[in-house]
Amino acid sequence: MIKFRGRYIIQAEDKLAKIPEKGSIFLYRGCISKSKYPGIEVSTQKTLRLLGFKVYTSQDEACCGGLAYFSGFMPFKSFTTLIGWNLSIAKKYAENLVTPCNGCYASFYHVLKDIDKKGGKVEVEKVLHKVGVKPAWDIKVFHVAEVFYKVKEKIIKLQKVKLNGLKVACHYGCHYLKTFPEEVLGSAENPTFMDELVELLGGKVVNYEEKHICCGGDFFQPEYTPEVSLKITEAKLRNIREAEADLLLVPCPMCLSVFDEAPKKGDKNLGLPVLHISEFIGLILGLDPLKDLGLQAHLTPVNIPQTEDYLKKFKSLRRTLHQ
Amino acid sequence: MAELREVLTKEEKTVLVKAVTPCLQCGICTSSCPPARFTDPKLYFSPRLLASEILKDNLDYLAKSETIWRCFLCFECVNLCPHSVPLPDIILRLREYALTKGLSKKIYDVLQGPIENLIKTGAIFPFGRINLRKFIGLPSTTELPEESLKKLKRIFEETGFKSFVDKLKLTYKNLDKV
Repeated sequence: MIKFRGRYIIQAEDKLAKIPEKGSIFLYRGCISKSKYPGIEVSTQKTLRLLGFKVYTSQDEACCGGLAYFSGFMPFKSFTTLIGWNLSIAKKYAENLVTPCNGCYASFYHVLKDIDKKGGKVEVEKVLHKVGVKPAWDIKVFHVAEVFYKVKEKIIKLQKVKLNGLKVACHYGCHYLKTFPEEVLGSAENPTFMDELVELLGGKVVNYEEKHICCGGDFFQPEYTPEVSLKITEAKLRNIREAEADLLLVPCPMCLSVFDEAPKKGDKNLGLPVLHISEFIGLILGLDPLKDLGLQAHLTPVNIPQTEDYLKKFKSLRRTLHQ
Repeated sequence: MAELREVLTKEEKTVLVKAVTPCLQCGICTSSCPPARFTDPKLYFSPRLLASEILKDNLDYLAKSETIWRCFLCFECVNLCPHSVPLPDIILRLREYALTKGLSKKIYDVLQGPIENLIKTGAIFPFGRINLRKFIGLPSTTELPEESLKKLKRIFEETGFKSFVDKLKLTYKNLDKV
């Protein structure tokens, strides 16, 4: 349970070499995209297919268990077995598991890194066998943002929508950067891969103060200590607004929901369009903001020049679909 | 208070204290901690103070306090700590103890629903946005097939998750009666 965290950083090239650039991948969607932002699920699927991957999803996918485990509600053994279940589902389709969620990403790594050290592996495998599932601990787990960076040349080749110097602020999210810093693509203290991607696609990256602090999300804090959570989110949004960003880009559905909902809970003037990286890449590849990306699920309308048409249709549609 | 000391076995306590032993009390954790910055000073939350309490062996006091639930698990502290003291892991361990001893009614009330949803459906948040899902061409249901859900429930039973949650339910229900 208690471990020493190495502070070394893997060279970006080493990590980059492992990220898949073609072939089959299993898409692990995660709970938030299923309950709040289906656009994340659909955009991840569609963009990855456009980029030449064979994408598989499964109805058998279960929760990653992160929220339950990190709040003390789930024993490690159950957490491990749940992750084991999901990994073996993935293994039926592919060798690589890709997720659009930082929380799920961290949950998978927590188990994959600790299963041999903490013991109990035999017991977990026994339970998995009992329900007729073959353990598959050798599967590779990646974040979808890493995959997009790997195939950046292809994205540039297929780019349909120009960014024309759109000012973009990137937020990487704690559970990608800080839970397993040695697994981050590039430096965990100063990651740049999302910023590089934005620049390559013709956007302008804006830097803002305290770029790498928490979004105010955690797993349960928006419900448990709403006032503290909102203050953290607003501090971030204030810094981002001060840097005059047009768009905030995040790789995590939880961060997305926190930034997206903050103007409804607190200071209305702090809101700005927030996109998940999959929705952003989908937009660039020319997918329809309404029919393909489901951007109408966002509480803060995504009013950037690239989605003008969508905004015109936005109001009437939201009334019918926002249920 | 004495009751909790018995829950934490000597071995477990030693593990926690040992993990914090390299702490220099330099305070870089508190200076970088988002909730430390924004929590009401009257309720003061500080990872450095938390480490100090562990070093003083005040584990029972910590488990009873609300402090351990104020951490956002952003892992900033452990990354900046000169000795990589794994405070998030320690907090997690303390949360487990506090919860099982019936010391965390507030958090239980917040998370009871989602946890029960997880046991019932295999997902922690209720499925939603059905109309929107249909509109963008996704299957309208994200529910697990019955057969898989059965297997999943068996996993929850065999690994002790179900009984753990049932026990919590009983603990907090009895608490209400008192």
